[in-house]
Parts: sequence; structure tokens; C-alpha cells
Amino acid sequence: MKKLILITLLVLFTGALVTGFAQSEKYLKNRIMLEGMYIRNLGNFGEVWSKAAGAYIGYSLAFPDHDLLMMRTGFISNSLKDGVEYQEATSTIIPLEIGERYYFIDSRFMPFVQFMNGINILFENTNLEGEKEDKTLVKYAWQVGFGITINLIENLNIDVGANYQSNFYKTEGMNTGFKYAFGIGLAL
Amino acid sequence: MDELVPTNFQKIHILIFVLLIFLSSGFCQEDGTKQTEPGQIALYSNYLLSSNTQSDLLGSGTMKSLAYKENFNNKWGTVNLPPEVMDDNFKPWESEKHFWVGAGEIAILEFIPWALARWIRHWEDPADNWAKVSSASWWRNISHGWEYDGDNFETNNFAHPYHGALFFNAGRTNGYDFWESTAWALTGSAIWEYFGETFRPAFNDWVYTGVGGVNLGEITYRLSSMVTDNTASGSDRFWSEVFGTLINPVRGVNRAISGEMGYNFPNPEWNRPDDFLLTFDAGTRTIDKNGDKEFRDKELEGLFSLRLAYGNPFKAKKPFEYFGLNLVVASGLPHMTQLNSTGYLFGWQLDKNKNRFDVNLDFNYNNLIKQEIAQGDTTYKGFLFGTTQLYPHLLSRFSIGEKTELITQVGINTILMGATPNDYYVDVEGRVYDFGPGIGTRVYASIQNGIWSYFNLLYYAAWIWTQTEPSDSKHHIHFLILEAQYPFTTYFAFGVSAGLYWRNSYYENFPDVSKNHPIIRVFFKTAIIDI
Repeated sequence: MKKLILITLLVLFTGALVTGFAQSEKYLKNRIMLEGMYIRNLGNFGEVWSKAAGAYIGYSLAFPDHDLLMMRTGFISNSLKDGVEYQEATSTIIPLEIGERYYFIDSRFMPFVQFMNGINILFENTNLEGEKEDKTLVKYAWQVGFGITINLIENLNIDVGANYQSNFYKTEGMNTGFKYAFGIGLAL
Repeated sequence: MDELVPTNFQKIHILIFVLLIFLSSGFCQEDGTKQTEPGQIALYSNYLLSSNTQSDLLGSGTMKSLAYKENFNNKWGTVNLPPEVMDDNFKPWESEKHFWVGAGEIAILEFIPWALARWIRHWEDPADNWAKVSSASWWRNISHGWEYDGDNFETNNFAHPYHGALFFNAGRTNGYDFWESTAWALTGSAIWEYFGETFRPAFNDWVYTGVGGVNLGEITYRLSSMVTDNTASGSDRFWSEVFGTLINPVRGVNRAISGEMGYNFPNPEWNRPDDFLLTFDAGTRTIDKNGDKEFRDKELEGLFSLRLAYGNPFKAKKPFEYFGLNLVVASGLPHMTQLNSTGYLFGWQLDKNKNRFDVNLDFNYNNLIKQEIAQGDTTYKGFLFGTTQLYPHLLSRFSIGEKTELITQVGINTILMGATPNDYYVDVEGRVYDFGPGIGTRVYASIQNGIWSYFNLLYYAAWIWTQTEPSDSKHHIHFLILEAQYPFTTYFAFGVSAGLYWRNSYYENFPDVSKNHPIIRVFFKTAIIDI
């Protein structure tokens, strides 16, 4: 699997080298995006659910000359911390987010800062204290981060980014954490 | 002899009368009022309680004042210096972005209140000093995230938006546009919340400071730009810079460090709107404080309102090209009883000069709570209500006569952060209410002729889900206000307003509570400045 990813990236990167650098066009365009993420949870929430993984799919609208309005949804699954023995405990999230990404420059390598917010629809069968209770919660979610978009070829790019999130869960255990994301975007 | 000594009630009326006579005689227009032009509307859509004018349609008449000079020929922005004195090639400070200056100003705006708390303020228990931050407190705040703090209503609904307005202007007056400057307000607030206090970051502070600060920030930016005349010189210029700096200190600082304060150059075209209206009214208000529907605990007080309408909602194209601001002071406590503002964000014209769909950013502050302490018990009477909200709405205008129009608004209150009493909340640090998001509706209608709104109707409703204590509580809040004005001169009117505030609060583990506060106002009104 690792080899396949490596070969894919190499092909894309080589393609970018061969075809891309001669172009001087703008890269900031409307896109569809697919992102994978790993989250390191913090605080009291992180003492139970220490990490999470998931994926986003989204659509973004470009505004000249720096801005990208992003809308996305996805699926996030929290994992219990080692040593926490809650039986068959699950905690999953469907995020619905909207926000903005600000690109400092419009070029092949585009560093950015971004702010996303929206709601998390959270499904859990066990609360932080370990009591079994099926619950569906709708909570405000917020994150801010930075990263870089690399335009491999004219309409294809990859993103890497790091974000801090402070999502509502309960006062004694907010869903805070650092989120690391890797994505692929297709410009339309 | 006692009957010759005026009571407090009589004193209020005497004061009101003298003030209004002074204002009406001092600012009256020699040439009467002009016929209302289409679209010249000042719409105060969110003025909830003392809204003696939900919509004003005033006529012309240029007043002599700092901002309105006779030789302006009834138009804003006319140059009143000889052309050879002007430097048309001068590059204004705000024509370029100055990121590091703005960042430095944010740092100063964070540092001053932090340093005052850290080193100047006396703490009975030094352990209470929330400014003793450290890397440990920063990491704790990052790890544990948001909470709702215990600040009182004035701090959350007035001090924080003002602080946010300064953050906003660190961007706005350094070359950033309205939308970019919102990031400055939100970022400045977030930095303070995470790193300026030992407390966990307060989400309500972030919304009130960040979003409320955008509202007040753009208003102070435009008002400051309006009173500052780049073409003036001498004492006119001096005082215009003083007033501009008082309204917007950050802009004043940037004008000072860029040298603009002492330089003659053209005013930006936008800085003086085609439509501008400032009105003053004074009267009395009686309100039932208990809200128990028995109306036994009425309070009578003097009420003084200053209302400002900048621009025209039917013409606005950019954020806050139209805004309204309403400040109400009461003779009773708390004196600062109301502060409302609404600003156009974006919208679409559906039918030229007739129907528009607009989205406004509203800020509402209504604080009528009177604290009463008896034998160690604290009770709170009256009511309070505050919101930072977006208001998408349909704005329409219908002609119902040669000079008479019906103005209507129908829309949705999208409350980002609302404040309302929570009957079972335990008082901590002065907070007697709770926070939460909400949603509701607002309907408004006004019949207008010339400068007067003969009849106004406002219904405002909101569901607010409070977030802290006890949890799972929700509140259904309503305002209904009916108002009539009768002009007995071209510039002076008498008005009556009757309103009702009622609240139904629902609690999961406590008895539900219903409150009902009737309000009646009688007032006189005059226009101070009208363009």
C-alpha cells in the first residue's frame, strides 16, 4: 500500500515537473476536495478518546485573489485511549462545516491559513464517565489552521495542513485537539 | 410651600421640556422640510424597547456643525480649500495594507488591559489575579477549550464589543477591507481568550468581542471618517481630528503616525453618505418590574434617546453603507439601558427601490434589571436581553398615498449569542443570566409621511437555548411594540408607545417560569442633523 501511494505521488510530481512549470496561469479555482485526517484529542475528552481518524469530502468556491470558501462533510471515528476499558464504546462524528481558506499567493506552492466552523453531529453509546447511553448530540465545531496546497498539474493539487480544533461537547470535556490533514483536490 | 417643590417626576419633565425647546429652537430649519425623496429611509429594525421610531423618513436641511459646513453646499465631501493647497497625489495610509502595524496595534490592545490587571489593579487575594498567565495556563486553555464565563451583562454586552471594535480597526484602518477586518477582530479576541487570562477561553466573549466588535468597529470607522475632514485646516481641522480620534482611537493613532492628521488631501468619496439623520427624543417610560402580571411594581423613569441613521437601506451595496445606531439612557438604574445597532452586510434587489432581500448584522443590548438586596438575598427585577445576530429579511416599500409609504420587514433572527435571564442560574462573578444561540422571527411595519413615522409595529420573537446552568433549558422571548407619532410642527413631534415583553422559560428539572412586562412611553422628538 505504501509503495502504491509512493508511486502515485512520484508519478503526479513528475507530471507536475514536466507539464506544470511552464505555465503562468492562476491556480485558485473552484475545487472538489477529498481529505483524510488524523486527530490527536486533548484535555478531559482526550483522556478517554485519545485520537480519531476520518475523511472529508468538500466543495470550494474561489474568490479573487486569495480566498476559498469551503464547504465539507465527512466521517470521524474516535478511538479509546490505551488503558480505558469501556466495553464496545463507540463515538463517531458527522461534521458539517463551512469556512474560508486564505491563500497568501496564487502559485504552484500556495501556503494558506484557514478557519472552519459548523456543527458536529455526534453519535455515542458511552459517555465520558463510561456509562452506557445512546445519544445523538448536535454541537458547534470550530477549527483554525495552516498548511500548503501544491498544484501538481493544472487541475490537480494536494493539500497538507495542521489545525487546532475546539469543538463543543460538554463543559468539563470539550472536544479539543490537533488535526493533521492530507487531501487531494480537483479544480473545476 | 411643599407643593411648590417639584418632585422627581416633575423634575424629569421639566428637564425634558427644556432640552427639547433648546434643541428644537437651536436646530430648527429655516426653510422647512423638503419632500421626501424615494429611498431616503432610516430604518431602525432592531430597536426593541424604546423604539419610538422604528423607521424615520426625514427631510432635508443642512445643519451647521462640525461635520456639516455651510459651504458644503448640502453635500458631503465638497472641498472647502483652494485647489492649490490640496495634494491630489497624496497616497492615503489605508490605500495599502500595513500588516505589521496592525499586528503591533493588536499586541498593544492586548497588552494594556492585561498589564493593568497584572500590575496595577489591587487584588485582595493575589491568587485571583487572572492576568498571571504562564505557559502552563496557556496549555491548559488549549487543552480544555471553551467555556462560558461569569462576567456581568455590561461587560459582555458593552465592554467586549468595544474591545472588539478596536481589534477590528487595527485591520480596518491599516488598509484591510470590511471582510478581512473581521478576521482581525476574531483573531484578536481569540488571542486574548487563550493567552491573556488564566481562565479557560470564554466562547461568549469570543462572539461578543469578535462579532459584536465587527458591528461597532465598522460603525466607529465610518463615523470617525465622516467627522474627519482632510480638507479642513486650523481649529476646524484640529477638532475634527479630536472627535474622529475619540470615536475611533485606533484610526486616530494611524492618522497620527502616518502624518495624515496634518496633511490636506481629498476626502474619500464614500466617507460622507448622501443620507444621514440624527434624532433626539426625550420622555418617560413606565415598566412593570416584577413581570407577575399584577402590575403592582411599576417604575417610572426619564428616558433619553439618540438615534442615528447612516445611509439608505434601499441604496446600500457594501457592508455598512447603511447602518443604524440607537443609544438610550435612563434616569433610573441602570442608566445605560439600551444600545442597538444594525448594519447592512449584503443583499439583493428584487424590485428596484421596492423589494430587497438583505442580511444585516445586528447587535442588541437591553438591560433593565434593577438589583434589590434584602437581608442577604439578592433579587433581580425587570428584564434583560441581548443578542449578537444576523438578520436575513425581506425589506419592502409600498406607496399608499402621494407622500405616504408603508415600509415592511419580515425576516429571521439568527442569534449567534443571546443573553437572557435564567431563573435558576447561580450568581457567579455578577452574572445573573445565561447564554446561548437561538432563532426567531421579526416583523416590522411603519407608515411614514415626510419626516415622521405616524405608526410603527414591531414583533420580535426568539427561542434561546441557554448553555450553562441548569443545562437543557430554553427560553421563548417576545417583544411587541406599537407606536404612534403626531407632529405638531414641521420639526417637533409628540409620540406614544406601548409595548410588551414576555418570556416563557422551560427547564428540564425545575418549574417553568413565565414573565410579562408591559411598557408605556410618552415622548417628544426632534431632528438634530438631517441630510
